[in-house]
Amino acid sequence: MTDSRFLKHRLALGVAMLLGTAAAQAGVTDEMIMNADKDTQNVLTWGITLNGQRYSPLKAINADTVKDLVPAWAFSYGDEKQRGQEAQPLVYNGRMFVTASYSRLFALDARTGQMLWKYEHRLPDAILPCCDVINRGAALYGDLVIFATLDAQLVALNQETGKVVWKQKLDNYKDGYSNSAAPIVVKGLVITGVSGGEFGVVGRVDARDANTGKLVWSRPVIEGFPGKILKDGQLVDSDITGGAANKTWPGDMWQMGGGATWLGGLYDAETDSILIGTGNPAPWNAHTRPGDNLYTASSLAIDPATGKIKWHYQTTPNDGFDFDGVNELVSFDLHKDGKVIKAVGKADRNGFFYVLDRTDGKLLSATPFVTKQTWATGVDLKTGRPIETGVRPGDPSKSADGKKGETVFSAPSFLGGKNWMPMAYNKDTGLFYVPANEWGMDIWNEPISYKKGAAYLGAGFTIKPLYEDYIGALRAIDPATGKIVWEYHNPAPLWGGVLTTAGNLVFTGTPEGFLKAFDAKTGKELWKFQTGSGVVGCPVTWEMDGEQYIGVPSGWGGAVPLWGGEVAKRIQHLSQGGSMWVFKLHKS
Amino acid sequence: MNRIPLAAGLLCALGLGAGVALANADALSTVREKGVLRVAVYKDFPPYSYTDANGRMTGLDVEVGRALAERMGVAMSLEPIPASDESMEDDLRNAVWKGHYMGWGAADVMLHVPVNADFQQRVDKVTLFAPYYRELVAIAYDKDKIPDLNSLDVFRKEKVGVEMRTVADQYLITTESGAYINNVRHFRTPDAACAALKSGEVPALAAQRGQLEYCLGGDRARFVVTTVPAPNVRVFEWNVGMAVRASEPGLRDALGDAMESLRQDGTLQKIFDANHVSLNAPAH
Repeated sequence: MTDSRFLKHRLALGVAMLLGTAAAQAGVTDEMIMNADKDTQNVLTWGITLNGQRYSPLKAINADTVKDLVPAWAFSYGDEKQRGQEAQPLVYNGRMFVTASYSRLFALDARTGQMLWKYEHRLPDAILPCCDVINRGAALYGDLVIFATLDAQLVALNQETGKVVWKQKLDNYKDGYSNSAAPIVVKGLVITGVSGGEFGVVGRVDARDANTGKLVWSRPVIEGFPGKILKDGQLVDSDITGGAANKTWPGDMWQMGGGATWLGGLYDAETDSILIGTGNPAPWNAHTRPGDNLYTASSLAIDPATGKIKWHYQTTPNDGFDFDGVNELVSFDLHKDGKVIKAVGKADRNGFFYVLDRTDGKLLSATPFVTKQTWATGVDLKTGRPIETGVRPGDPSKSADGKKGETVFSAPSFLGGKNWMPMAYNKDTGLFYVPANEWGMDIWNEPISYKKGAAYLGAGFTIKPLYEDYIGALRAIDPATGKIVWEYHNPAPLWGGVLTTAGNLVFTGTPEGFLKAFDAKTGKELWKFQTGSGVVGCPVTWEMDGEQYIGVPSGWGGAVPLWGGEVAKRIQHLSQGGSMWVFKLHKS
Repeated sequence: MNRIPLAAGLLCALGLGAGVALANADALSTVREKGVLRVAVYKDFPPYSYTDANGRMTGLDVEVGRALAERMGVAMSLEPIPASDESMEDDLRNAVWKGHYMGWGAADVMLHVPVNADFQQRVDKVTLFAPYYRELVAIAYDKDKIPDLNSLDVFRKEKVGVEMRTVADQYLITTESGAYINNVRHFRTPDAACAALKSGEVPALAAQRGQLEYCLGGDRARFVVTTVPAPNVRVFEWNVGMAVRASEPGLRDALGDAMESLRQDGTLQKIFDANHVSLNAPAH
C-alpha cells in the first residue's frame, strides 16, 4: 500500500477529481467574492470588493502612463432607451456583464466589446420609478448573473446564455415598489434592499439563496415590524426591529415609515456584518412624526446569518430635509494615534463625512465635506447627535389659510451633499475620494397643492447652485482628520462613481461626457476622454492578457435632469446616450 | 371674408355651438376624424374610476367621459393612468401634455382635475376648465359610537381612520399641533378604510365626501356624513373639472359645451345619482 506508483496514481486521481469539481462548479464562488481584492483578472462584485473601497492594486496604468490611455472598444446599447447609465460593470472570465437603463443587461466579450447576448426585461407600463429608469449593476454567483428590475423583481440569468434561471418578486410594483440597486452576494445569499417612493414603502433588507432565489430572511428597518427567517423550511417571524413599536414614532405612523434601502448594501468580513444605509422617513413633513423615527436615515450593521441588527447609527434624527441616509458604508482600517481602528466611512446626504467604529457603530468623527450646511453646525461626538440650527422647513398646516408659507433656504439640497454615486478609498494614500455637490434649496409650504385630483398640503422647492462656476466637487478626504486634501471642481453636478488604483490614480466621470483621471495624491488632472454623453456610471479596472483595462458606461440621466430650477440651466445642453467604453494603454 | 361663414357652417353641421375657436383646432379635428376621444382617468380611484369585478374600468368619471364623447358624436377610448407619487403636476404631464416615458398617456383630455386659478398658474402647459362638481373633505361617523361630531376634539379620545397620504390624513395629523396623531389610524387603500368603518374598527372615517358616500352607499341608518367641524377648512374644498393641452382651445370649447349640455339635460345628475355621489355645484 505504500507503493510509490500507487501513491502517484492516487495523487493524480485526486488532482483530476479536484479539477473535475472545479469544472462542474465553473463559476464564481463565495471564496472568490470574499477575496476579490486579490483578483485582478475579474471584477466580481458591486463595490469592486465587498467592503466597497473601489480600489484596485493594478498599476500598469499609473500617474506616469495614463497619458497613453486610449479606447480599446466601445459598445452602443442601441434602442431609443437612452437614459441614465449608472451601472458598475462586472468582469468574469473574459466576459463583461453590464446593466443598462430600462432593466436591460448586456453580456459582452471583454476583449472585443462584441455582444454575446442581451436580456431585456419586459416592464409593465404602470411602473413609476421615482428617479429615471436606471440600474446600478448585477451580482455574480456560480454560473449566474443576478440583477434587480424596475418592477421590483430579482432575475438570475445564466452567464453563458442569458436565459432566465430563476426570477423572484421582491415587491409589488403596483404598491410603489421598484428596484435599481446592485445586489451583493454574501456567503451564498443575495442581499437586496427596496426602492420606492413615498407611497407607504417600508425599507427592508432581504437575503435569498443565490442558487434558487428563495427567501432566507427579511429585516424591515422600521421600528415595530417583525423580521422573517426561514426555519425548518417555513418562513416565521423573528425578532421585532427596534424591540417594539412606538418608541420613536407617534401613533401608527411607523407603519408607513419609509426608510427605503434603495442603494443596497456592502459587507465587512472582519466583523461579519452587512453594512447598509436607510432612507428618509415618511411622510416628508417631520412635524407629523415627532421622535427620532428609527431606523430611518441611519447606518445599520446586520448579521448575514440571521438578519439581526447588530448596531445602528442615525445620521439625521427626525429628518425634515429628505436627507436619505442610504449612502454606502465603506469599511477601512483607520490609522490614528499609532493605532489601527476597524472603521467605516460614510459621506452622508446631509453633508457630514462620518467615521464610525464598525465593531459597534460608535461615532469617531463627523466633519463637513461640503462648504455649506444650514441645518446643523456639527455633530456632538458624545451623544452622536447633530447640533441643529433650527433652520427647518416649516409646518405646512400653518399655512392652510391659503397663503404660501415662509421660504427657508436649506443646504445641502435634498439631492444631497452626495447622492447615490459611490466614493472610493485608497489604502496607499489613506484618502477617501468623495463625489460631492454644492447646492442648496429654497423650500416652502404650499398652502394647497393637489395629488391624484385632490387637495394636498404640499411643499415647494427650488434647487439652487451655491456657486457660479461649479456644482460638482470631487474631494479627497483624510478620514483621520476630516481634512480636505485636494478638490476638483466640475461645472455640472457630479453623478458618477469613483475608482482608485495602486497606480496613484482616481477615475471618475462627468455629466459633460468626460472620463477623467486624477493624481490620487495631488488631485492634478492627468487625463480625460470625451465619451459622447454624460458619464454617471461607475468605472472599473481589470487585467487581461497582461494588459490593464479601464471600463465605464456612458449615458447622461438619473435624478438631476428630472429636477428643474436653476440647476436645469447648467445641464440642459447635455445629450443622452447609452454605451460602454473600454480603454487600455497605447502600445507603439 | 367668406372663411368665417364656411367654418361656422361646418361647425353647425357637426352639431356644435358657436363657442368653438376657429383657429388651430388640431386636436379637435383629429378627434372628429378618427371618431375617438382619448380620455385619461385615474386607475384604482373608486368611485370615480376603478376596475370592477369583471376587470372593466368603471365609475363616475368613466361615465362622464363616455357621455362627453357621445355628446361630441365620437367614441371614448380610456387611458387609465397611475397617480404619480409626487404631485398632480406630474399627472398632467403624463396624462395630457407630454406622456410618460414608458409610452403611455398624452390623452386628449384628463378628467378629475382640480380647476383653480392658483393651480392653473403653475401648470401653464394645460388648460383647466369645465368644473363638473365640487369636492370637499368630510367625515363619516357611527352615530352609536359618536353621538355628535361638533368638534374634532372627539378625536382626542376616539379613533379616526384615513387613507394614507390624503388631505384628510395630512389635516388630521398636523392640525392642533398634532393633538390627534395618536388616534389617527392609517389605511393603505380607500377600500380598507371603508371596511374598517363598517366593521366598527374605527368609529369615524375622514376622506373626500364622494369616497365616503360611495363607501356607505345607501346604508345611512348607522352613519352620518358631515363636513369637518373646524374653522379654517374651507381650503379643503375644490372644483373638479378637466384638462386639455393649453394649445387646444378648440377641443377645450367643444368639451366645455358638451359638459354644459350634460348638466342642462340632467345626464350629469343621473350619473352622480347612480354612483351615490352628491352633485354639488362647482363654486365660481
